[in-house]
Amino acid sequence: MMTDVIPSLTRLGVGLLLSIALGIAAGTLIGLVRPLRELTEPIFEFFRAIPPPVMIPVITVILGATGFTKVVIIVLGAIWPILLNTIDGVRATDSVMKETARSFRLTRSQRLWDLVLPAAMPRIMAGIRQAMSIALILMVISEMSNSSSGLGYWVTYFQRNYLIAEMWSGIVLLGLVGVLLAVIFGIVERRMLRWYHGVKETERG
Amino acid sequence: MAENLLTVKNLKKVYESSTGSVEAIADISFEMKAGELVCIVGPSGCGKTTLLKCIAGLLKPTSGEVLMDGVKVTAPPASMALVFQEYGRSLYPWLTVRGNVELPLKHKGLTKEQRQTLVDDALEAVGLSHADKSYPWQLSGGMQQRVAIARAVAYEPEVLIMDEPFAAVDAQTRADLEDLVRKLHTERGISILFVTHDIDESVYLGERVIVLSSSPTWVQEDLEIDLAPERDQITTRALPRFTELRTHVYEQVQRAKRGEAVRPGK
Repeated sequence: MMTDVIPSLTRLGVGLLLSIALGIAAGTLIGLVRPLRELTEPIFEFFRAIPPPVMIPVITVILGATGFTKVVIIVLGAIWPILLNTIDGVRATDSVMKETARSFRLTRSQRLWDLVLPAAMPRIMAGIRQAMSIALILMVISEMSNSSSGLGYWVTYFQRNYLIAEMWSGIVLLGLVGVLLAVIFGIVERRMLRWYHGVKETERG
Repeated sequence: MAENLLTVKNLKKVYESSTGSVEAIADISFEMKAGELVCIVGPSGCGKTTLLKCIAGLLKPTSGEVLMDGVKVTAPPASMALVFQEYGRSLYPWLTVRGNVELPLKHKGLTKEQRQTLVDDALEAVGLSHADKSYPWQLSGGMQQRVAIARAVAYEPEVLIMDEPFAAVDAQTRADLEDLVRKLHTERGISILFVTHDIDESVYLGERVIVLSSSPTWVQEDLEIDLAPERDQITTRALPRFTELRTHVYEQVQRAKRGEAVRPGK
């Protein structure tokens, strides 16, 4: 089982990073371009409402039972909170901050990197936090069927063969992975949103 | 023409909405020369901010025009810098004080050293050299507004436009900031267009006070303030001439509020 931990975690990591990159990139674009937003919003609401596990058989049929498929499944589930939160965050950029940027003639890239993205970052981070738990669940579920490796596969395998102690070891390991992810996220979030927590603290007085 | 830094010609602004159109500004014309400190004062809701946004190129006037150095303003010009009333929303909380002041300079094609010098100089001018590594939210309201002023000064504009910048700070801080504005004007010769609803402030700061009528707005009076350029919170405010001017402007604003003044040619 231990040799299967690394591939599982790699798929989880790649899936999460892809969700973050795609979610933020697409979300920023959609959040900035109003017609695009109006066009895509109802579609997104629909896709977001579909529970991601039901897509697993469909995607496996289309893409085959490979590691890549599992990454795609993770991305398809985890991208939504990041994408939708980014759209919201980008849209909600403060009007005075935007006017300041205009009056000082900030360039397009300055407005993106020094205004829009930092301003949306608290929302984006909240989206990533949700995406992490979705990604972990999907990693396990995607390994439970059509698979012969991975943490999810082994936990199911142990269950079916009444290997109770081994089953529990798998479950504990999954729990630890979740905790580890949360710790890493906490460190990154505190660093990136130091200003945000500072502002909140001063507002509370 | 060339000597006028800023010319506002028959500016009119009508807000269109589904419930009908609202005429905010009827007809405003005035000129401002380089090196002047002009205060615009008027009753609340008279469209001061609308006027300012039109001047700064953030809002398109319905008719009339704004000329900066003889060139029509259609977008925010590089020769203007704004200081907003809401300092808390105008500074970027994710940047340090230095980062905020430096940000608008980054696209000006300056070297790193030149930027550094400008930022240091501007922070020194507002008395914040020691706080350059702090974040805006770690500072008091008055200090945050100083950062916004430093950002505008470092930008090296031909005219500094201030929109009720001290409306949200306490009285003592306000007096200090007023003196800072005077100092920037007298020592550095910066041209300043200062919008306020505070009559005392307009007389204390200005060399000219433009009194606006209530909305739809026009220029009710353009008054020369014949006080000495060296002003002091205690002695200047105690001068009989200061009281006279203050009373005069006060009466004008009261007339504006009651809608008594009649627009010439109407």
